Amino acid sequence: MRISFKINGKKVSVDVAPEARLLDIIRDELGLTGTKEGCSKGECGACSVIVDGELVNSCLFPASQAEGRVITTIEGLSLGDKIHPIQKAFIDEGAVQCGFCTPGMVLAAKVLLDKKRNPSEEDIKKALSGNLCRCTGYTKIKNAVKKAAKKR
Amino acid sequence: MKKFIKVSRLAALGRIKEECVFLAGGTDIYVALNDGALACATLCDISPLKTLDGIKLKGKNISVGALTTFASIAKSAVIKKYAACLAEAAQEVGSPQIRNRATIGGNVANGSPSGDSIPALYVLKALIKTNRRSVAVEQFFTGPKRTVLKKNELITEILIPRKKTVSSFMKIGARKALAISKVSAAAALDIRGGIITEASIAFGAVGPTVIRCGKTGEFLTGKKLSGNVIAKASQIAAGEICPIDDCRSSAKYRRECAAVILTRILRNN
Repeated sequence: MRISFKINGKKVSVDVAPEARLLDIIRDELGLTGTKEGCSKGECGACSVIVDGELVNSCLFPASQAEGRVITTIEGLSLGDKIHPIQKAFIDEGAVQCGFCTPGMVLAAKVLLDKKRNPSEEDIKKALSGNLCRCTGYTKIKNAVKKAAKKR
Repeated sequence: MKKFIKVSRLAALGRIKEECVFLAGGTDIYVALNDGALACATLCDISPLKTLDGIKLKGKNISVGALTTFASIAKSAVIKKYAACLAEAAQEVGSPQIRNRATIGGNVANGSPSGDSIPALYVLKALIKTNRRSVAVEQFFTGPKRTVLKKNELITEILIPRKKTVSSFMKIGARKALAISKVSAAAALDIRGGIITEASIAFGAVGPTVIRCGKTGEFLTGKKLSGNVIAKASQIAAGEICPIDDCRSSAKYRRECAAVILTRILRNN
């Protein structure tokens, strides 16, 4: 089946198997490999993308349901060579180690900061609760989100 | 996968010959697909049935459409006001990503004894409506992951009587987010002039289906919520459940935790 949607500001139209996952369309068809596959069970959040303003696991998202949606992946955050303030904050705070969870974490932070200008510690923990990091221990990630919130 | 169907009208379901697995948000179905299960299944995508999405007041009931997501339920003013335990349970499901996609209809149809919405629906005395009939929530589940749903019977809405009950939900998992409940509990109390006139208590993940604790409810009825009453009620409840040892927890731990979370719920009221 053919589906059309907007991804990172660009309209695309792709042929998909009816049961295909949005994750595979993003990575294999569109070549946007910033979105990672971790657990394939919706437990790690590495595959998180933003669909119509909400965070979802693209490994559990039927590609056929992406018709007409507006999608943002990590590649959609930077403006040319200029990285997004949240990405900058992650770098400045040392919130990236192996980096595999980072795209999902940054997008989770983006959804939070789009909705709340001054999130509390609890807000941050909750917003990032669907994203696992096995390297940093979360403190630096939380600090990065706080820093990004302050800079807005 | 054998075949993929998308329906845009409820009436179209009747014309489908093969047995379908219904697909809504995909948070259970795609885990199974990713695992290689459902290889021979016919998937029927019901997400275009927009009339099944949303929360409305309907006479003396609250109607929650089967396609309503847990994110919507958790933030609904109507649910918070009349069915607080369901709002609390919705907030505890999976993660933000899961709550944005997972539907209440899917949680019920999946029929897991640890499904977080189910103890809440028990104590709220919800009615499960399908495209063919209405079934009281307590009659809906027949075992772990087994329900009364027949071939291609679809849950369409959940009706919750609009009452002035105080209700609350609590769960214990290995961690706060993304943890299937080791034990969960919901309680709904009618309190008039400090006296409990009706009490409904249910536990999840401590039996083949969610379990209602009738004796605990009877014990609480006519009493005031004192420390002693709460302690005794929690003890009775721990005797009414039938937990097992499995990959997530032990029967002993579940029984102890059941008493602890009921105590916490009742103390908060």
